[in-house]
Amino acid sequence: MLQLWLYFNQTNKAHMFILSLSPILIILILMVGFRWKASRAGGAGYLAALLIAWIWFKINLPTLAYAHAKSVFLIMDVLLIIWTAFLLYRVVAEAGGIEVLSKTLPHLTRDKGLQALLIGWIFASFLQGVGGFGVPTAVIAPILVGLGFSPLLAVVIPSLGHTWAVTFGSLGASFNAMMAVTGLGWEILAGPAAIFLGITGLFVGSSVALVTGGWKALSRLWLPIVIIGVCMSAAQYLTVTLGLWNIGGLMGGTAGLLVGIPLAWVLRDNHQPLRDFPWRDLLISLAGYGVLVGLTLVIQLVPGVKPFLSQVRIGFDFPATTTGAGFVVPAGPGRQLYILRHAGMILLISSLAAYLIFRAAGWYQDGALGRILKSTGQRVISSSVGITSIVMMAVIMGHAGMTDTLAQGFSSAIGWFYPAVSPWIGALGAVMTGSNANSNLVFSALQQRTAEILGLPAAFILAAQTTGGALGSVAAPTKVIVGASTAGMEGKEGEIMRKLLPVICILLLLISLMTFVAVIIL
Amino acid sequence: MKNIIQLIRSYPIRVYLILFFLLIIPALILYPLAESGSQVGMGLFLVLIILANIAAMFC
Repeated sequence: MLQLWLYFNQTNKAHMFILSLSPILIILILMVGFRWKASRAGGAGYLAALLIAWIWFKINLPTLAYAHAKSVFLIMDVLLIIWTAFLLYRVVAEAGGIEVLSKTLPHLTRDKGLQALLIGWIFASFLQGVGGFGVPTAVIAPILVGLGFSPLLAVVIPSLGHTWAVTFGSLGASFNAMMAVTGLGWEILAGPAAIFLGITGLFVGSSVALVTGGWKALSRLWLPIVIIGVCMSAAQYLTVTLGLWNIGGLMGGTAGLLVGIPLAWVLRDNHQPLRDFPWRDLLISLAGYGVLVGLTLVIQLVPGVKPFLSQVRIGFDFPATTTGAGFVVPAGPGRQLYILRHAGMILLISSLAAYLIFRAAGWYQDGALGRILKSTGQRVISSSVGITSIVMMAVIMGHAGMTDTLAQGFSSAIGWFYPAVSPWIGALGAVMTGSNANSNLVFSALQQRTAEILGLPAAFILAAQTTGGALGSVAAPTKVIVGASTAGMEGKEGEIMRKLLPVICILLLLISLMTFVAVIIL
Repeated sequence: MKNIIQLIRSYPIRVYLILFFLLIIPALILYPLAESGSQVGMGLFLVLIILANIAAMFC
């Protein structure tokens, strides 16, 4: 704080720093203090950014127009994935595909610790990979209650269990948001993020065992945790570093199921008969995700396919802009949308394929298509408006020089200690806004700029941002309320938070330490 | 005003959908006009987007 005061004294920029921080504070205060939805709070933050940029940062008409036009392409890029990811999830869920998995897995073992790992960690990670949007806790909490877990544990276990899969889950929506706002590609961002999340995954598995059965369960189950954790983390790392970031979470979760199911069978109680495993139903229920993985692999790995599909491109080149206060944004291309190979297009085709497969198998009841489209609309439209406003706010702040002002202030105030703080900023953003994607949209550009000013490797600071965001997202009041309602814990959200927060804080401390080590080594 | 609020509460998805396209379409249609340097084009483009963001606050 003393350094921040000295910086303000020397530069006379205190009021500009506070003004730059205002749009973010407005969103956080309105969402947390006044319980406004992201769509409303985002609009208020956007208007605040617009007014401050116009009056104090002297943004002019052309800069504003270009900033808005750039943001539209970013928004389209982010939303195409969010819409189609949820569509695919609804296509599978409406057919009963998620129910098949939910009914099958618990019968593999009677061991409470193994059940918690298999369902609350591995299956939760798989669900996060394919669906996200609060689905893992909503699906798994009732299953765990049915298996005899207390309602409190039934919410806490899956909430913790899927954290490590949030960034590359939801078909990569949160990671795509970070790429869109920073302008950095997967080649730079994916590796460090996957390393941080992978290590977190191992600790998350341990935490699940610990909250389920204490140190006794952890000492009994440490070997399966290490085996499964290493397999899931390695699968996610290899997938995303090959450029298949949209299926990173899905592949991590799938690897977990492929290793976890046989492991649970090997470790089962000898007196426990293994029920007939419904392989056919399981394969049909996963068919849509099979199409998704197949298409993604073909586009990325078969020579000639990617360049051919890249011929259709939507995007503009933007000129350099200068505000009245002299802040310059250099010329460059905006976000380019390669429609035919866009992750959203692959998801759309996978959804259609899955729908046809389930229809042919007779898994749908009358009116299924209408219900799928309606529930998808109900879930994504409101959040789409919020994301639109928040992205526009972030881009205006970047073009007006407000992000730069914030980054200058933070770098002066925090300095060498910044790597330890960066995951907490990501977590705070996610707790306040309810999602890792929103946190990445609001804070990634700021974290990137601060890292640049301090001469720190931006890829690792951004990895800390998104890992912190992933951890923080499960402690968001909105998510806790949804989780509580599915396990009959309405009105007892405080109990859930008290159990969840200490573990999240310990994991965040671990990320702080990892970021420090990464920055020192590099 | 009461009727508008009633309409929003009755059909939230439709209202959000209209708002969403109000946010996106001006940019796609009016951006080339704005890019040509037309102050009117830029102004119109911005006014529509700003109005849609204000409207989003009332959903």
